Amino acid sequence: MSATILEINKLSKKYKDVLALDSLSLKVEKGTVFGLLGPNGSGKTTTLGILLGVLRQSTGSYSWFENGDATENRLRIGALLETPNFYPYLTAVRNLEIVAKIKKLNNPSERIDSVLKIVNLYQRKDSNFKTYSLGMKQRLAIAAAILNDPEVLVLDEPTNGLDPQGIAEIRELIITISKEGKTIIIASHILDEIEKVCTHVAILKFGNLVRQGTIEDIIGGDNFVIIAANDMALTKTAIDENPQMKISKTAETEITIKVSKEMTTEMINQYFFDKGIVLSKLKSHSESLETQFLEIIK
Amino acid sequence: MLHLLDIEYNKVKKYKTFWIILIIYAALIPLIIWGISAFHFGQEGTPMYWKGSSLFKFPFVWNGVTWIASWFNLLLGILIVLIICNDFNYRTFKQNVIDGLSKQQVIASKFLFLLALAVAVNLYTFIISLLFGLLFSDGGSMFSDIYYLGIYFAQTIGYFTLAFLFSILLRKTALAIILFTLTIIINPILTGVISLTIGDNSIVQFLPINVISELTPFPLQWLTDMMSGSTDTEAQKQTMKAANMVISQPIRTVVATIYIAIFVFVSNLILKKRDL
Repeated sequence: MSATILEINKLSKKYKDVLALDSLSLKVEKGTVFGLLGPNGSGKTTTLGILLGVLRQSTGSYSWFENGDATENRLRIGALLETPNFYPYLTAVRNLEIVAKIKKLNNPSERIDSVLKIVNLYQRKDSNFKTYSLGMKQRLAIAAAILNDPEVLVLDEPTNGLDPQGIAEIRELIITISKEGKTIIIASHILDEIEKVCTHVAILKFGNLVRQGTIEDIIGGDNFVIIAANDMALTKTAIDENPQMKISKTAETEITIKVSKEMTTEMINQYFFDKGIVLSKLKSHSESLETQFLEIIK
Repeated sequence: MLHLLDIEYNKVKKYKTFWIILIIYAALIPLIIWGISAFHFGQEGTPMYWKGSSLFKFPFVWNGVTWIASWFNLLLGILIVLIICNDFNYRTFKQNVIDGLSKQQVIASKFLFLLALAVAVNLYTFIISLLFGLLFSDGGSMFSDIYYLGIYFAQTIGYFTLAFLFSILLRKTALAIILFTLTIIINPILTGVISLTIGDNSIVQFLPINVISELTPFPLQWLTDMMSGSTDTEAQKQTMKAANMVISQPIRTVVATIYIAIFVFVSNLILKKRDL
């Protein structure tokens, strides 16, 4: 049986004349990796800000661990919101010591060393925060978020400012942590990032929830394939004749088609060949969430 | 409570600016006392003769040292602005809440730290007064005027909570320091203008800065004692004390406490209404 980690009920936030969040309701179950998607200004950070106690909602409510919005709930959460916030004149270790004190961790020095090793900052642990590069600051923020080995990890744009290697490392870290049965909530506009790690997604637009479901639900069990052939007109006719295929996007030299999950590229190739069309290009399209996403928020 | 103080202490433990300002404060007071005590006026043996060190004889020393120390409350007020606005600038107030403190705890921890600093400053003033008192006195009633220390405590809390209010209100270090300093600088001008306009100088005595700054009055009694070269009778001393201020010291302390309560109340109100 899965327990509810977070329940959001008709949450709204109004800034002067802007409705940043409009009656959002969500449920996050234990053990899921939940992606909060949306373009800039869609209300992702506002939502997380409310959930983490730094913003007050205008109306609505939320409940962590079926325990309402109590302050102690946040001791069981590790979170990174917007920017890495630390004391610039203190070293990484001293900054984490303050976090440990707030989290009420006893004898944190071993744990501090180990999280600094996880995020590859151990060599620079005694440097002042102000001397860090943007990527290093972001790593320290992630170290702080996982310091108390939290039940829930809330990450707002976790790969901000990281180099490709750093992004891959953080992705690995997220997958490792989720395998431990922890719940992870990630807000991001980098769809690739969400698709690779998330099990569930919610898509926001102008403060409204437009879609919610498992990754499979959102992608709709469809694959996208890019094809090209000499006779494009004939190809299009062939696509229209097949109920398992649908034109998603037409470009001058290629067509993106949506195909059902059961259709392999081999089957697609065979189908066109049987119709007398020789494909000059056949490529499965990896950014299927992106395609869906752009479709949904249109 | 100790948990919150511990967190605050860890924030300043390695903060150089904090310690430099404290050291400047701690060094200036004994230096100025030393300077004044070395000063003398007139010829020895004549009635007009007085020397600065007599300001630091028991029991005048309690009035003398707290009066001098009060000049530097501006410095400590700036220190308070600095450590509060830092947490806004670095967005660490926000982070502290994300990490697991409540908004009320974040503010309470700053307020507790401010109280602890006031206690430390008063302890230091006590030690300095005691040392100089012992240095310049030949016995006498050591602790008869020690209540000045308690009043000085109220004064430091008064300045600190005002700095606290301005920091919470403006959130920007430079702006809060300017407002705090200007309030103190403009106060005498404002006092003068209001008294002249309404032709009465009793009401202006109740302006917050006047109430707070006059808690540690100029050691007038000492000065007149020295000038007259005589020791006044107890009755004369009382008259002197009364002339020193329009509002009596107990009432002034009560009014100052009310102002402190207002500063804290308004700070809290602002924080409750606003997002971090």
